[in-house]
Amino acid sequence: MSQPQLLQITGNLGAAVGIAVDEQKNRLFFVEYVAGKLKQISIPPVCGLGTSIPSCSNTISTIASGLVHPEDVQVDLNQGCAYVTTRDDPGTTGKLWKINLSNGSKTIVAYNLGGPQQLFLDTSQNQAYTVGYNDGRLRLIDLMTGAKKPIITSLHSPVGLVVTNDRRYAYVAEQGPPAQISKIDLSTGKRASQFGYVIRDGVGGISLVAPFFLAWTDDSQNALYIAERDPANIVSRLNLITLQKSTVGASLPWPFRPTGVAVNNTSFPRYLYVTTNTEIVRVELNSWDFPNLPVFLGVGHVPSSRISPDGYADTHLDVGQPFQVIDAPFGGTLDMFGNLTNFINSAATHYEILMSRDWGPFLPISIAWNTYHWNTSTLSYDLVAVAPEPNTTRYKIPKETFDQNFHPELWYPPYLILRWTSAENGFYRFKVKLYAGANPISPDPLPANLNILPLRIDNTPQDVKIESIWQKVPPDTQIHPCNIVSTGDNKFYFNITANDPNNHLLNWSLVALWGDNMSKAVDSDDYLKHYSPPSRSWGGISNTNVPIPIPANYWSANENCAHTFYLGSWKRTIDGYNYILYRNYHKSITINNLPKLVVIPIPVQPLPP
Amino acid sequence: MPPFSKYLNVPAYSEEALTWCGPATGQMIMEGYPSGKCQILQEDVNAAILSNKTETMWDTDPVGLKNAMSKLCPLPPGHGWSIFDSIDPTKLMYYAAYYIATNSYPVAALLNTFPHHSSIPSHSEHWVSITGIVTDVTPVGNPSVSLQFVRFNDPVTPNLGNTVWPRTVSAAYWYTYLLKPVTKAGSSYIGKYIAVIEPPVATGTAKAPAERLIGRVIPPREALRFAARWISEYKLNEIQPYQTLSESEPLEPLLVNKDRGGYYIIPYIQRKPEKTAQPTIFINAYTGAFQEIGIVKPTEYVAEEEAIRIGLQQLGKARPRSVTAELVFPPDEATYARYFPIWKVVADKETIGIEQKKTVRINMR
Repeated sequence: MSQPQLLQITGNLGAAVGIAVDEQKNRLFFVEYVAGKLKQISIPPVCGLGTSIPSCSNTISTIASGLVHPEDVQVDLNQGCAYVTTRDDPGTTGKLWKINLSNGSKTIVAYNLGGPQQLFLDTSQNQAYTVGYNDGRLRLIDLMTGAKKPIITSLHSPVGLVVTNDRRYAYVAEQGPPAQISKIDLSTGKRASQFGYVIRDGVGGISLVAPFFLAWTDDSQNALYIAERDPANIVSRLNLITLQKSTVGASLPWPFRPTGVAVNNTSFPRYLYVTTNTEIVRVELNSWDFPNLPVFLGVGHVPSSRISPDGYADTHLDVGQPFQVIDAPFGGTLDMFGNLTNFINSAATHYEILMSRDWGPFLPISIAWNTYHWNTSTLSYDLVAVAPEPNTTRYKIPKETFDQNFHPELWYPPYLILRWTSAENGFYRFKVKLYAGANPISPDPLPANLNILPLRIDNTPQDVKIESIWQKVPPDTQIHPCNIVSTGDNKFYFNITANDPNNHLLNWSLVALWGDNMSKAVDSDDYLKHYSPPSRSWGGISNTNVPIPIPANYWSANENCAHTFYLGSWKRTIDGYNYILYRNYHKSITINNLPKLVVIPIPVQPLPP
Repeated sequence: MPPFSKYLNVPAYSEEALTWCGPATGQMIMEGYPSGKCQILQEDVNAAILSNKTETMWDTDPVGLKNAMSKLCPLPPGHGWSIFDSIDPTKLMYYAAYYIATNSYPVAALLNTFPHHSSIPSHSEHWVSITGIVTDVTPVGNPSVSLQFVRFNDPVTPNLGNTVWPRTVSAAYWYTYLLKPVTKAGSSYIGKYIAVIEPPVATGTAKAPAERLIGRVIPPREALRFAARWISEYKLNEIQPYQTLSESEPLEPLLVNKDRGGYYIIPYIQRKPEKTAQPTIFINAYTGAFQEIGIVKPTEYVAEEEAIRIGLQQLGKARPRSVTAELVFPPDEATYARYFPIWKVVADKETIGIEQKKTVRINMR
């Protein structure tokens, strides 16, 4: 895995703390604790780093001064203002200020905040959250009235704070001791983790030193960046799903006291900006961190994002897509496609696919399949075998001999990482593990939330049978196959079964065939008529008389002839390309009881003379 | 007979949110318990009010405030907070005077239910804590007293976070301009004056003459003479925190609302170089009667010429045929804002308001 690069944006600062990114105008806002100022600085590409001209360092300007130990800044660019927490205002226990970005004028939004630290702004609700280092409170603040609502009052020297997009949880960096990252339920004010913390210094091999401000790594919100001050002096990344914590660029020369963190997720490459005691530095993220890219591309024609967490395909709202299915389980032989490009960019040479059935353990798969590979000599696709490396479960990511690069266009289909013949029904989950040679890549560079492919497997065929044919003579009389019906009413009904015990039936249809390519529907049904989310269940019918008696409860023949009644039914099971489970059944009888058409000649009267 | 007076030592806090005059009042009262201060964060007082209130149209309703104080800081055994409501303000003030005289506890009083923050029109209640009273005779044993002064801590400040200083007003001003019955639609207290106090053990009335609202305006020099008289007669310069009057000089009186409800603002500026607080005296513009003394941060009032210049600039009138300017303030706004009246500038029948912060107010009548 390549190392991220750390570059200085500017130096000579007086204890820079909070930082915010204006991605539109390529600038940073930050506060200096000692100088008591809110400042802004331009960032590339509108200026350059180092000795470039114009130098970003020369673009620093003061927006507001006279702030008493400011801690954090967040900006509401639509309103043209910044919000700043200050810690040591005389006569109060800290304030939240609203500062006009144009003229630097300040107004108090709220005060007596217990030593406020990191700020989370929720402009959609006109409110903000902050934590009080001195009084251990997490507060919700109404930006209009200044009203404060204490959410939890028992934090241990809290400093860092982020809130989830759904506003259900906050993650707080507590300096303790012990230092820990905690998850707080914002509706109940309770700690939402099993032990009261997400990670804690000294527990489970975790080291967490003087944690300061936090930032989401990306919009998936499955990981955090944590600034850790001296003596650690690092920025770390915490995966909230695996709880793995790693140092961002283990060998990076982090300046003294990393404090504030902000991520520019809209740029490419993505950047992490960090304030330190005297500097602002920038780290390029994309060289080692691909949290937004898919791991599994899809199964057959079904994209991975159209597969529900319980393993069903649903493309029925994708207008114009030729393969439209709904609540479809998988079965048969499945082509799984993966992001081999990203695997390589994550320094992988091999991958392993792990499979779990019905929430059992993930175990590696070791199977072989054939696929096509372009032969640059014969100029044709050759059928080649794909298999794990000998005596392992690792598949080598193919690189071409002519340039040692991966060329997906030389494979058909491209990006195929597994062709798996499913068998037993169940709920399966697949995930990818990357290797550099024989060694697993650690920490896992793949985002945990995207590294799961859930598949519901159902290979059980449906039951399809015409149980019996009945004529309403009257009385109702069963007509056996090959019987000839010569008397009674022209009224028939059918007792049929079109049933899937796993409740994955797609449709059934009963049709009468006779004569010269003649046909007439008897009855039919399909899943969409029974579609009722969140239920995915519809099993069809068993031993049921059709036509269903609405409005008529019988079927009538159009003419005397031998008739074959044909019952067909599909299940929703797909292999990613097609439905795969179809069953049919037929019975034949002869209907000869319709009235004959008799032509009676009309006598011709003689004309009058 | 010398008048009876009782001033309590109650800390003064401003509201920490624009809707929190109730919680701030509760906080001040609990910290003013003579039995020992009970310190509760204002946000916790607010949380207790919200969980106890019974009338949703209030930010702080009387039940919420009463129960919050009862639960957060119970009174000594044998005592308990109660809601006193009456259609007669003199009965309410009598019992407030009686209670302060006998128990030395501050009283939560509802001044009125008018909106007082333009940005939060839904907030229409104004709670204060009464911390002192002056009557002609002690209310204990005298069921009919003449109320002379009321001292109270008003948590509603011009800007969030401003320092609160005690306001001392004449009883006439208190009854005429400040204390008003509930007008909140849907409230069970409509038409009543409200205080949170202990259940009454004595009844009576505390009356005062009404303020004169119209008349011939006395000249500024006479206003100054009246102010000096009240300082001397009421010994205002001996009362905390107005002692700086002794080392201060009055500035030019500012006439506000000359046509109706007129008053003079007379700021006093300290002779010493450090100026941290500025005593200000208000007198009736028609009678010269004392209305109020309070303290604000040293304020440089906008001069008439400056107000006209700003107004004409805003109106885009370089050479108007006629231009006038006068200080105005809505007489019913019972907040500190009366310390900072607005210049109403009329040029060629177009009107604009200039606030003391030199900001413009366009919705002037």
